[in-house]
Amino acid sequence: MRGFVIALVLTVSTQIFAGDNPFEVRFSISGKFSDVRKALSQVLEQKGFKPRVITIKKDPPRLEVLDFCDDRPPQELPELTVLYPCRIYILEGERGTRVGMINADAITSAFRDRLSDGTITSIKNLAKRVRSAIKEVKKKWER
Amino acid sequence: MKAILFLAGGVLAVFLFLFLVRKYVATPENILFYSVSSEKDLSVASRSVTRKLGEKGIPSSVIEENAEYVEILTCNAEELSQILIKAPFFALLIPCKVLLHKEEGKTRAVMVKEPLFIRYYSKTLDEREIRKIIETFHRVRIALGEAMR
Repeated sequence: MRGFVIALVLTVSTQIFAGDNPFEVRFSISGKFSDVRKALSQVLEQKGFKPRVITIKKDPPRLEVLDFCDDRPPQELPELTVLYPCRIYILEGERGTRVGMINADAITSAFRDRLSDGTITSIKNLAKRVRSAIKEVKKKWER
Repeated sequence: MKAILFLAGGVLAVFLFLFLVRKYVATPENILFYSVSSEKDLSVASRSVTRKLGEKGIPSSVIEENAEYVEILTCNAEELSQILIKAPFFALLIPCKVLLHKEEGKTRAVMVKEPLFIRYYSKTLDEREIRKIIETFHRVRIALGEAMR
């Protein structure tokens, strides 16, 4: 019954709300895929992350994921760790590279009532560090 | 008068139904996460999960393991590469991350549920592609369910 209600709500809402995904933050970088990927790995490492490279598609348009989660799951809601903003995708485009990450604000807002202020701050700080790494790389091609 | 009361009652019943669905069924936890608990201890559950995933032909690797929790990376992202370049957001969820952690003397396995995210791509992806994403998550959920028994 519960599954049916969820399926029904989602099916109806799919038709009504199809649009921009609020759970994603996207960046367009004008550099080539391999240069952007290399620069992102370097900047993330400088910021104390240890990115693990996961290759999803080797031939153009190439797609890779950098995964660098090493935070402990929050005690009040451990499952949230599977949606932490510590993974980015890098997609080769015709005129540059697209990079995306989880929108931490959307996640923390959804669970505001369940999370402590400390956890919210720690998730937001993590996202801020990742976003600043991406912006730093983006700037390299804007100069 | 009877008709007005009937109408008001109906509206009230709809609001009550929506309130109860929102409070007890459609909570963010229920919508975004799949979870299953087991009496098995953490290391046994972790081994059961990786073995079951392997039996079902789903690649997996343990990326973090300690006394409190285990993180497993699974789902074959390469199989979905054509879909992921159309909707790269799903590359943030696939390879899927499974977290096994201790909770009140039991071990709990959790992973992300996909339906909420899929609704944003109903115009970008066709029915076959959406079905393939759902199947990918579903296969892992089945494996988790069986492994945690």
